[in-house]
Amino acid sequence: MKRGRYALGLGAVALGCVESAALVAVPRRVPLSGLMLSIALVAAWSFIGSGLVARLRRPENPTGLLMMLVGITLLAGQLVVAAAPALHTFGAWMLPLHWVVFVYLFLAFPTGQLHSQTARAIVMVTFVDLAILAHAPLVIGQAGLGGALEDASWAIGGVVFLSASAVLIWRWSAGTKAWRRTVGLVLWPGALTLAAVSYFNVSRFMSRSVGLVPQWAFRIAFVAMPFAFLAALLRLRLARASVAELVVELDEARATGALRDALARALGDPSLAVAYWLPDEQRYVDIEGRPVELPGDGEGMTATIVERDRLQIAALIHDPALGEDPELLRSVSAAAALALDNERLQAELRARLDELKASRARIVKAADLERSRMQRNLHDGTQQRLTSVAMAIALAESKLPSDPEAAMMNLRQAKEALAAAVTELRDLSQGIHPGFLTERGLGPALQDLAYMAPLPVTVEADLNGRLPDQVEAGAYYVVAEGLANVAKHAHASIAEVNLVRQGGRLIVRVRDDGVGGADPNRGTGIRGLTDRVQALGGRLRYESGPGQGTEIRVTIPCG
Amino acid sequence: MRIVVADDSIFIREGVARLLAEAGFEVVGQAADGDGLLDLVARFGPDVAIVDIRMPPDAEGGLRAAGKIRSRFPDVGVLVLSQYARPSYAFELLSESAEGVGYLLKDRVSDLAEFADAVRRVAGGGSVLDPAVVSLLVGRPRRGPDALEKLSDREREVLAFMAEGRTNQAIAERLFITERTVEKHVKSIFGKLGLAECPEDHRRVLAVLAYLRV
Repeated sequence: MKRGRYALGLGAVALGCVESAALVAVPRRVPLSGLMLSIALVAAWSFIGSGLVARLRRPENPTGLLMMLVGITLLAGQLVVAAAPALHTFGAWMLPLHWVVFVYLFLAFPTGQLHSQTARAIVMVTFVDLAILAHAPLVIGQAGLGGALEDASWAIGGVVFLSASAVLIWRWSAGTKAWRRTVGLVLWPGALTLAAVSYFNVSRFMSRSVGLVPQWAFRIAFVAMPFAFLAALLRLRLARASVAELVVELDEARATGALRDALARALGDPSLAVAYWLPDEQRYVDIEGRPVELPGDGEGMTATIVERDRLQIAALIHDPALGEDPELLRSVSAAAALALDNERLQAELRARLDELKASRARIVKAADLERSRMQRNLHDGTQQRLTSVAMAIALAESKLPSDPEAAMMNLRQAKEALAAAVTELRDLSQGIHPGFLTERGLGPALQDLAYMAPLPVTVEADLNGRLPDQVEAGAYYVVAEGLANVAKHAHASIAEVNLVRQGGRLIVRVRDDGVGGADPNRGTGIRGLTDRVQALGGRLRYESGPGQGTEIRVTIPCG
Repeated sequence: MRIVVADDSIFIREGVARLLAEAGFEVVGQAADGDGLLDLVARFGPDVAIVDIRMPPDAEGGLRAAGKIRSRFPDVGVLVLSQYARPSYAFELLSESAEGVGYLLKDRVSDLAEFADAVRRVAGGGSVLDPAVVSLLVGRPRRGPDALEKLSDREREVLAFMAEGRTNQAIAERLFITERTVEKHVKSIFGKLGLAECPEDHRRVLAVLAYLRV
C-alpha cells in the first residue's frame, strides 16, 4: 500500500522530468521564448508537485494522480514545438488532452470519481471534441470539411467548458455548509477557470482575438489552480487543529447537548447528531434516551461509529462530506471517546427511566386486568354457587318434616355445589399466589409445575436452600409463563428448566425444541415477564430463531 | 378405632372429628399445631393421626410432624390432608416407605364412605394416595418411549388403583371383575413396565410410584 503510493507518484514525477528535459533540449521548429517555456514548466510542475503531495496524503483518493496527469499531459503537449515530426505529432495530439483531464479533475473533486450522468457526459463530449474533432485539419486538411470540423470543435468546446463550470457552481450551491467549507476553495476557482476556457473557445470560434490582459490573467490563474487544491487539502489539515480546541471544550462541556455542539464545531458540521449505543438492548438512543435509527446509504447523512477500548459506544451522524476527511473524524472521535462514553451512560439511564415508566404503567394495567378477571370469576362462579347452596339448604329445611327424601336430595345438591365452589376458590387462590411455593420452595414447586405441564419437562434446580420470597415468586412465574407459552405456541416435544445460583444471582433458563420465532411484541407473555424480572432488578433475554426452539434466560440478583 | 385430628382451623378440625365419629371412629384428641399433635400421639397411642399438611409452627409444620410420628411411632398410621394435589408432597411422604401412610385432598372428607375407607386402610398398614395426584402422574406426557402406552385401557385403570394404594380385592370390587382377573392384569402390567412383582400392597405402591415419578 505504502509502496504503491510512492511508486505511482514517483513514476509520474520521473515522467514529468523526462518530458521537461526533452522540452528544454529538443531542437524546435518554431522559436519559443524563455518566458513561455517557463510558464509551461511552472504550470505543469505546480500540478505535478501539488498532485504528489495530495497523492501522499490521501492515497485512497485519485485526485492527486489526476492532478499529476494534468501536468504530464500539459508537458507532453508542449512537445508540439519539437522539430522532429514524430514528437511534433505526439505533442499536437497531447496538447488538448490536458483539458480533458482538467475537466475530469474538477468534476470529480473531491472524491476523484464522477458520480453523476451529467458529469460523465461532459467528460465524454470534451474527450471526443478535443481528442478527435480538434485534430480534423491534421488528418483531412485545413480546407473544406476539416476547417468546418475544427470550427465546430471550438464551438462545442465553448459549450462543454461552460457546462462544466455550471455544474461546479451548482454542486457548490446544493451542498451543506460543511461541504462548501471543504470544497468551496476548489469549486469556485475551478468554475471561473472553466468559464474562461469556454470564453477563449468561443472567441476562437468567432475568430476574435483575446486581449493580452485576459490571456495573462488566465495563465496566472491556471498556474495558481493546483494551489487551490493544495489549499483545500491544507484546510482539511487545519481542521485538525480544532481537535485541540475540542479537547479543551470537552473539559468544560457539562450541560446536556454541549458535547454535541463542541463536536459540531470541531467537525464544522452544524447538522451533526450523536447517537449512543446501548449494548444490552443492541440499539441506539439520543441523549434523551429516545430511540435513534442510523441513516442507511443514500439518505443524505452518514454514520461513523465511535469505539472505546474496541467497544462500540456511539455513532456520529454527519454530513457525508466529512467522510472525505476520515482522519479528522478519527481524531475527533478519539478525543471525544471518553466524554461520549460518559454521555452514553446518561443516555442509557434516561432510556432505562423511560422504560421503567412504561413498564410501571404496564404492571399497573396488568394488575388491574387481573383484579377485574378475579372479580368476574368470584362473582360469576363462586358467589353464584354459594347462593345456590344457601337456597338448597333452605329448601331442605322446609321439606325435612314432610318429605325427608326430597330434603336429602337438596342436601346432596348443596354438597356438590359446595365442593365445586371449593375447587374454584382453590384454583383462584393458586392463581393469585401459589401458596405451595411459599411452603416448599422453588425446586419442588417447579417440579410440580413440570408434572402438570402438557409436555415432558425436565427440571434441574441447583439452589442450595431457599431464596428471598420475591425472587422465588419471580422465578416461578418466569417458568410458569414460559412453560405456558411453550405449550401454547412452540409445538415443542420437550422442554427443559434449569436453575442455578451463581455469584449472588439466580439464573433461570427455560428452553424448548419447538418452532421458535417468538415475538415479544405479540401478546403480553414475554413483555409481562420482562417487566416482572426488571422490577426485581433482573434481566431477561431470549433467543428464538425460526426452527431453533426458544430459550428464555433470566438473571435475578438474589443477595 | 382411635383417632387424633390435627388442623389449625377449628372448623376443619371439628368437622373432620364429627364426620369420623359419625362413621364410628373414636376421636381421642384434637391438636392445632405440630407439637400439640406429637403430644397427643405420645399420650394416647392412636391407630391413626389425621394431619393437615399446613400447620404452625411454620408453613410445613404438619408435614414435619407427620414425618416425626412415622419415625418415632411406627405403629401409628398417618393420613395427611392437603389443600392442593401436589405430587412432590406425595413423593416425600411415600418415598422410603408407604406403610401406614396416606395423602389425600381435603375435599375427599366430604365423601364419608371413601374417607372412612382411607382411614381404615392407613390404620391397617396400607397406603392411600389421592386419585387427583395419581391421574396427574399417569396422564402426564413422558420423554422418550413411554411404556405406559403399551398398557390397555383396563390395565391403566388397574395401574391407577394400585398407585392409589388399593388392594386387589378393592380393585376387583370397583371394576366389577374377579380378583383373579385383577391379578392377571397386575402381572401383565408389571411385565410390560419391566417391574419386579411385589407381594405386599404397600411395596407395590412404592414400585409403581417410583416408575411414575421419572
